[in-house]
Order: sequence, then C-alpha cells, then structure tokens
Amino acid sequence: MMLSKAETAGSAATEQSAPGRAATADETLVRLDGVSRYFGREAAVNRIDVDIRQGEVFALLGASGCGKSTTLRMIAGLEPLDEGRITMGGRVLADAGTRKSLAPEKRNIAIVFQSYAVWPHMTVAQNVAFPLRMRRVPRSERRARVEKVLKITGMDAWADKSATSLSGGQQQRVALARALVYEPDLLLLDEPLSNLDAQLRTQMRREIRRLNQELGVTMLFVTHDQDEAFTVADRVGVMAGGRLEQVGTPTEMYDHPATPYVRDFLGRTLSLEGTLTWSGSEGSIELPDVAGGRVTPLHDSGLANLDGERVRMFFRPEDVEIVPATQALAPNQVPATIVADEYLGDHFEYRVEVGGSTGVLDAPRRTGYQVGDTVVLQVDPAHVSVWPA
Amino acid sequence: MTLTTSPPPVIEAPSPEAPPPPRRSRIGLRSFRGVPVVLLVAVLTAVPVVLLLINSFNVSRPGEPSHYGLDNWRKAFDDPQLTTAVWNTLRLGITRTLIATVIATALSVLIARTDMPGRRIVEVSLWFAFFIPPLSMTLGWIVLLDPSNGVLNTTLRSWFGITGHHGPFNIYSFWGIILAHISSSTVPLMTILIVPSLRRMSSGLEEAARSCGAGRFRTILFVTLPLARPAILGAALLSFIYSLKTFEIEYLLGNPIGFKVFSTQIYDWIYRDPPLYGIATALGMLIIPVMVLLAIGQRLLVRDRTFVTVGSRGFSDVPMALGPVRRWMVAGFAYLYVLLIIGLPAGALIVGSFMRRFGFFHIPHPFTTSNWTNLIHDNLFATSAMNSLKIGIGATVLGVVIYFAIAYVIVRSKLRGRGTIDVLAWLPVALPGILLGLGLLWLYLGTPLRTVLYGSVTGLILAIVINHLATGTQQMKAGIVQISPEHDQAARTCGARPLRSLWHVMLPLIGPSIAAVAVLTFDTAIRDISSVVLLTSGNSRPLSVLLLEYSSTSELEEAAALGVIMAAVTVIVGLVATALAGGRLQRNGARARRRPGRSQSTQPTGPAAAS
Repeated sequence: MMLSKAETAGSAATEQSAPGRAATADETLVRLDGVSRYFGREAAVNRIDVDIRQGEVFALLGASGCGKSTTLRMIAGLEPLDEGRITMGGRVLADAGTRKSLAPEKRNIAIVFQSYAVWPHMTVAQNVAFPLRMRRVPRSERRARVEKVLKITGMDAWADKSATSLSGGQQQRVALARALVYEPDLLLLDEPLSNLDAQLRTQMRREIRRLNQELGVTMLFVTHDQDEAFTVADRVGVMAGGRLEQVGTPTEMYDHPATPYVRDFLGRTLSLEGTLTWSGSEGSIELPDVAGGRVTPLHDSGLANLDGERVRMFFRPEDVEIVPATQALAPNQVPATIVADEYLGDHFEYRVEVGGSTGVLDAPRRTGYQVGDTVVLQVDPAHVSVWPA
Repeated sequence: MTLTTSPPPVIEAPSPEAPPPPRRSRIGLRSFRGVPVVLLVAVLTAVPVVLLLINSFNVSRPGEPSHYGLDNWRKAFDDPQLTTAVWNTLRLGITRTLIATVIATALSVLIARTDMPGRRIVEVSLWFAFFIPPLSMTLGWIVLLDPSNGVLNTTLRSWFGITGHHGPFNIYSFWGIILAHISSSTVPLMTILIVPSLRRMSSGLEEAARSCGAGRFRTILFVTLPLARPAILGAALLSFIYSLKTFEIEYLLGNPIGFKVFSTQIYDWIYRDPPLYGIATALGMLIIPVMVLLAIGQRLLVRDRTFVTVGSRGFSDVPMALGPVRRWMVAGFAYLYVLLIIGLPAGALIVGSFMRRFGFFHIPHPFTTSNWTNLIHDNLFATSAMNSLKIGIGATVLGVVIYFAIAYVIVRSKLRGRGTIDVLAWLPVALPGILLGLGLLWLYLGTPLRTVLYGSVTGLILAIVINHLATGTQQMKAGIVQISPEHDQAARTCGARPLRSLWHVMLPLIGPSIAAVAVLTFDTAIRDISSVVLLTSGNSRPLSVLLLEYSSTSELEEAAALGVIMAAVTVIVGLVATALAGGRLQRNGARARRRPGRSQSTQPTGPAAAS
C-alpha cells in the first residue's frame, strides 16, 4: 500500500503512467452512452457515460451496491439496459431505445466471475476448450490453443485434473485461461481478487498486468478495493449510488478529486475551515480556529470566485510533516493534538485531531510522542484541495 | 406412493462430520448408548422382511403351525404368472421412468432456470398433482378415456366419424397405466426432486458459458444438464423404485384386462380362495433384493454432491432470459401439459362425481347430486372417515416422535453405529407397501400380538409409520442439519443439560420442519393403500381402502365423489406442509441471495420499462 502510493506519486509528472502501459492509448473500444438499469424504482446504474480505450486496463471502483457489477454485466449482455446504449468498436451491443441487444455469446467478450464459475463437471482442459468448441474450432487447433493458454496462465500441469480438485487461486487461473483462449475483444473481471488470500492477491495483481501487456487484451475490472484499482488499472472510474463520479488515472483522482465523494472515498484526509482571500494571482486561507494560522500560497486559479467565502480545505496525512513546536506558528503550520498512538514496530501511527477533524498520521519510530501532546503539522499548500464550506 | 416436500435424498445436506476416530478411553458403557436406537430401527425395518424370508419357506397358512419346505418357491417358479408379473412390472417401470425423466427435466429447467412467464403456476400445479391421490386422478382418466364411454373417445369418434363403439383410446391398457402414473405421480415427483437442486446452481456457471459463445440451448445442453446430472439420475432412480412399488393404479386399470404386476399378483394370490400366502411371500422375496440394491445405489448416486457445492461463493440466481417470443412459446407448451395432463383429469373427476352413470354424457339428465348424498349418508363412509382420522393422527404422533429420534441420532449424536442407523432407516424405501403389509400380516397373525394388531387401527398405524420411515426420517434430517450445532452448544455452555437444550433451543428452531413432516405424515397416512390393504378388516377400513373398493366394484359414481373428498383433503393438507417447509426455505434463500434486487430483474418497473 505504501509502495503503491510511492509508485503512483513518482509517475505523477508523466501523464502516461509506467512505461509499457496502454500501448495504443486513445482509441475508444467500448462506449457507454447514458446507460441506466433499474431494479424496482431504484436506479442501480444511473445514466453512465464512459469510454474504455483499446488495450487499457480500466477499473470500476466503488463500495458494494454502487452499480459497478451491474454495469459490467450489462456490457457482457447478461443484464438488459433500461436506458442508453453500449457500443464496441463501432458495433452496437445493446440499445435501450431500439430494444436491441446482442446475445452474450455473440459479443466476443469474456468474463471472469467472482465465483470463477469453473464448471465442475469438466476437467481443466475441457473448461478451457469449451469456448473453442462453441466456435467449432477443429480439434487439433483446439488442443494447441488450450495448451498455449494454459502455459501462459501457468496451469499446464493441471490440464487433466478435475476442476473440483483445484484451489481458489488455481480456479481463477482456469477461469482466466478460459476467458483468454478465444482472444476476446474485451475481458471483464468481476471482483477478480476478492476471494483470494492476501499473498495470492498481490501475485494475481501482477499477473493481470502481465497478461494485459503480453496479450494486449483490453480489460475492465470491477473492485471495491482502492489499492487493487490503483495498482492494476491505467484508468479508474469511481462509482457511487449508480452514478459515475469521476474517471481518471490513479494520480489524477488522488490529487484532484472532482467530487466530495471521491475525495473522501480515496485515501484519508484531514480538514480545516477558514476564509479564502484571492489577491489576483494567488490565494490564501485564514484559519480562525488556529491563532495566526494561514495557508498560502494557493495557485489554483479556480479559487478566484471563492474570494471572501468560507471554505474547507482538505489535505492528506501523508502530505504533512510533524515539525517541532515553536513559539509562534509559521505560515502553513497548524497545531494538532495526538489522541491515540499505535506502535507498529517500524513506525508509529498517530491519530491526531486538527480543528475538529481527526486522521491517522504515520511517523518514524524515533518520534515517540505521547497521547495528549500538541504537535505542529507542516502543510504543503501545493497538495491542499479547497471546497466551499 | 410416498410423500416428500423437501425431497428426501436430494435436499439432504452433506452428511455431518465423519465419525470421530475411535479412542480407547471412550469404549465402555457409552459406546452402547446407540444400541436402543439401532434396535428400534432394525425392528421396524428388518422384522417384516425377515418374516417374509422365513415364511417363504413356510408351507402352512399364517396363524397355523408352521411346516417348512421349498414348495412355495417351487410353485411360484412353476407359475407362469410370476414371470409375466415381474416382466410387466419392469417394462412399466422402465417406460414410465424414461418418459417422465424427459418431461420432468424439461419442466424443471423451465421452472428453475428460465424467465418463462407463469413458471410459479406450473410448479404449483405439479405440487397439486403430486398431492392428489393417484386413485382419484385415475378415476378422472377413466371418465375421459374409457374405451366405450370416455368423453374424449366419444368426442373424437363423432368428430372424425369413426364407426364402432370403442376407442380410439383405452385407459385399461399398458399405455393407460403409464399415462395415469405420469399424470399423478412420476412427473410431479421427479420435478419436485429436480427443481431444488437446479435452484442451488449459481447462474454464473451458465453466464460463463454464454460469454464463451454458447447459445441458450447449448448452454443448457453442455452446462446446466450435466451439472444437474446427479440430481436427475437420483430422481429417476427413486422414481423407478417407486414405480416398482405401486399398487392401486395397476389394480384399477390392469385387473379388468388381466394385466398383472407383482404387487397386484401378490394381492390376487392372497385374496384367492384358498389364499396362496406362501407363493405370494416367495414372489415378494424375489423382489426385495433388487429393490434394496436399487435403494442403496440411488443413495450413493445422490450422496455425490460435489457438483453443487462448487461456486457457492458469489452465488447469484438470475434466471436465463429466453427472449420475448420464445419465453411465451415454451410457456405455451408447459401450460398445455398442465392443462391436459393435470387439469383435464382433475376436472373430469369432479364432473364424474355428479353423474348419474359414470362417464355417460349422452343419457337424458346425466347429472345428479345423489352420489354425494348417498355417500355422505353411507354408514361405511362415516366409519371409514373416523378410521382414517384415527389412523392419520396416530401415525402422525408416533411417526414424528420416531422419525425425530432417529434423525437426531443420525445427524447430531456421536454414537457409534449411527451410520448403520442411517442405512437401515433408508431401506424401507425399498420395501413395497404390499410386501410390508404381507410381512406384518405374518407378524400379526403368527404371534400373540394378533388380538391387538390384526385388523385393528393400531396395526394399520404401525404399517404406515414403517412405510413412511425412509422419507420422514430424511425430511427430519434435512430440517435438523439446517440448524447449526452451535445453537445447541451455546445453550449447553449457558448451563442447559442436553435434554433441556433440545427442548428450549433445538425444538423451537426446527419447529417448522417438524410441523411439515407431521403434516406430510398425516397426508401419507390417509391416502396410503398398498401397505394397509392386506391388514385392514371391516372394523378398521380407512377411506383410502374404501375408495379402492368402490373403484374396483364399479360403484364408480360414489368412488368419484369420495375421490374428490380425498383429493381435497390431501391437497389442502399437502399444500399446508409445502407452505410450512417452503416458508422456511424461502427465508433461508433470501438470506443466501447476495443482491435482493436481482430477483426483480426480469420485470423492471423503472421509468424506461414503463415508457
């Protein structure tokens, strides 16, 4: 987790993240146009627009029940649309207006289910050969392709084993092999890692990235786990209450959340209320709760129209530093109280209270503050986000 | 015919944890605590069979001093009727099971896995058919398909200008017997057994096949059906076992044309003058080993449940969308089946009960209510109804206590020998009612119990409790398994002794299951014919036997009225049991379902759907 943040932060400067990712970047493969789905009166998915680009890994991130799985199922053709349209490579997959919907088996889209759905009455090889059988691929070619994809997923040694004798991780590899064997235009993954234990999960994250890079297959996966979305995906869409809140690269999302939901959902924040003043080129926030407290300079020109307004500024615990307390507070310094501490061996985690909000802060093991101590936090104005109070 | 709501073997939860490894220190008095239960089950199930075996060598009649010899066996094998009866039994059973497997599988898939409109109605209709006594349904078929007066026959003859006074159909035939069985027992039973296991299948397995490029038909063919194969085979085998046991339909439809199966042949030999007890017993002993093997095979087949347990994580239950046109097309076929095979005979039975002459529509003033008034004022009816009530209540009380005790020992106790109990308690399923009756007849007549049991209501209650033992125990087991032993353990740590925990915690929790078993036992008790027909006397005759007598002595009008009454009682009682068991199952289902909204997914009521 710590490592992943460092990685994303490091690549923040370049718009494209790690090299090798998203080979052909901007060509849209799948487009969702105002797609909705209702269960009863409730909109499980509410007018979603999203483009998925050729070759990328796209993550739909959100709490359970936010509509992300339903979206995935609509793309696969397993769930009808109530509004909107889905196209793939210029072909209409489903259109609520004309009530046309291409059957799932005709979409050439693969899906890996959360439960893997590996058929227990077939062997591993039979499971993987099934899509080719359905496409009437000749037996000899079938065998070769199954062999190849099992090798890619590392399951070649299990080809003749019954699917029931496999562990969860192995079942998932079989499900992946079955999905990849027919070279689908799009691979959908529904909570692919949630049924695996922590160690396997990290391994499979890398595996999914590797498959994306080696095979160039476009992937859309659904997850409730921020780390999973950020480490695996090129771009992430955050969903809440059936709506798509924001789409962007992990760094964009983390540094510039577009909605309060995304801001609070991703990572941890501390916040303080104050008054904004704009002086033509830069802004500053006076903090009435902190004697002489001031955060400056803020360079976001969008703040100009908040001049003189009450605002709430948010900053992330990992962007602040605990500094020794001095007599008077310098600009960008705010006092905080330690309300709880936890010693984790290699570092401390302090729960601090700042102007009524609390948050968890990591600090080196040499610090050794006590509960009740007042400390000073050095805020970096470049990493402050300001919202109307 | 035995009754089952929560189908006994299929719904049976995985057997409890393996018996604990034998520990030397435990051997002592405690090891023998299971003995009374083993003895009880053994007495109930094995004694009739052992008596049959012994007495197949007994050349004298029941109640007379025994003389042993091989005469019975020799005579039985010399009698060409034996071979004919066995051959008839087999070809009826095989034909019926094959046809019913195809129909029941198709109906089950439509009911459990698709968005066919009205699938719930089709399912309830099958339950309805299942609870109607087979004899009542057969009377309905006689109204329709009697070769000379059957409504369908006369109608077809006049439509197509067929000359003559017979045909084109004849219910008194091989195919007539098959039709009556398929309509009232085989297909309903199999559907009821297959549907729950299909429902337990996660739809992800089918959806995966769809995205892999298989259409609906190929998905069902390559994924759904192979996955359900253990359940389908188990249901088919059980239904075959039941086929070999049936008595009353063959008696009513086969006897007039001299078509005998082994159960009616045994009945025939016993009611001949002089009765041929020995030969009948020898024939019975031929059947039992085959039945036991079938019963054990069925059990082993169903026990292999690995297919269903996979994919329990991330379970979803989205029905397969058939498409706007196709879903109504398949619904049309399903409705047609329900209407023709269930609705028509049931309606014909009711109409028949109001006819002056059964099935005669062309005589002047064909309708009358006198059948009903005659029946109600018949003393025979009053005493039989009273007997049925006594038998029903007695069998329910005794049955529930015994089934619960056995099931509780099998599922929850750590007693040695509970595996044996489990097998023994399942074996009565292999014992045809008519043979059970015959075995008990030797017991009742040949021992001092004669005065208490022979021809008395008590004797009939005992026969019914044993006949229903296998299914009753299976249903109880299913109910007990659903309640986690931790409830019991929590009560124990709170300071309750075992019996107090049972009384205060376990019994209230499995109350609905017990109630369902009780109601079903009552239902079986009042419609059971085959196990009591040899044991009943004028004083203890229940309604079911009265119905058989009326039906076979051409008092068909009163038989129809009685058939309607019996059907009404059994259907109402049966549906109460289903509601009791079903309510419990639905509650569990709702909890297991991950997203409750999914169930409505076929009928969106959102703005788009409304427009």
